[in-house]
Amino acid sequence: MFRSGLLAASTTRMMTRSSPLAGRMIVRAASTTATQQRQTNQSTTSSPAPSTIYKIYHYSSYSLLALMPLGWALAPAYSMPIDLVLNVIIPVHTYLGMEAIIGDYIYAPAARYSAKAALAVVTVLMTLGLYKLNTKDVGISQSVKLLWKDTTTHSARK
Amino acid sequence: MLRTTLSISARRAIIGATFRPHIIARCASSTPSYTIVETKPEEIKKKQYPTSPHLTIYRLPLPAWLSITFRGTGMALSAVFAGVGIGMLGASHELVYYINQLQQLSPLLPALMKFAIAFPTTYHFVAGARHLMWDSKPWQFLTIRKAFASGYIVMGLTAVISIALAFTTF
Repeated sequence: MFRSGLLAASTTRMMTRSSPLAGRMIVRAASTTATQQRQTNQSTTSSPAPSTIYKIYHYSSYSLLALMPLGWALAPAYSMPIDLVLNVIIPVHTYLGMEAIIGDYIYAPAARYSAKAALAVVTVLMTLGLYKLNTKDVGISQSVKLLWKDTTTHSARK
Repeated sequence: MLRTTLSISARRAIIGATFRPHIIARCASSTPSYTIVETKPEEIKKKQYPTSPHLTIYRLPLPAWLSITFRGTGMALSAVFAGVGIGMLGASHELVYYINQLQQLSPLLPALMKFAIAFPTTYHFVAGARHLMWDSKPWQFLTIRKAFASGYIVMGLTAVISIALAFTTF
């Protein structure tokens, strides 16, 4: 629906404007369904198959989308398994995201290598720290909720 | 030079270009057949030519601002999680003790800290959902008008949720 309006409007504007291409413009069908568009795009583009690391990043994003609100809702009583899963997924998502950012902006091999090494060290330390937060302290989800808790009247572990 | 040679309507059109999708949609053409090629960073030779100024000249459209904010909030959240994790490794008290000590420094700090945590989290969450939507069905969701429309929804949802969270206590 959107695409048909977009195409019709743009081709009409291009046709009525006096430009060198006006006479040579080929008028296409005004409406293409979503299926037709997908088939067109899949037949004209070729992209490399997603690697395992990309799939890990993709599924970690979906997991975080589901688990962060669930952890917030279930904390602190039933959030222990969610906190342990988050203990792994948050550092993985952090590492892969920051690795993409470093790869985008830092080109010199020495600077890039040392930045990625520092990132790996920080990620490992972060995992250990979050594990300590999960076992010795209240847990990741409840720790986020602590900012909103009125700790003068409520206990931190409720 | 811009101020003296452009009419007032042309200036309004340029200022509105950030928020108006039809100005970009007019430049959109049909999809030709192409192959995606990627230049690896290792292949970039040491001698690099300077790039011509672009960010200092052209006004970015709304999806571009939302994209860089998405990246910035991701970096901020990484810093917060890494800071809390590494800080708690060597800490002698529990996290609630440090939070209380910080919040007692000023009466403004509780709301400010809540907003400082809530805003990047909700923005990254909502914009991340938008990204995953694009990844699942790009032929249906990744059009210019829908990018602007979903961008407005992201801004509205983030504003409402983060401001609401900044002023609640439970």
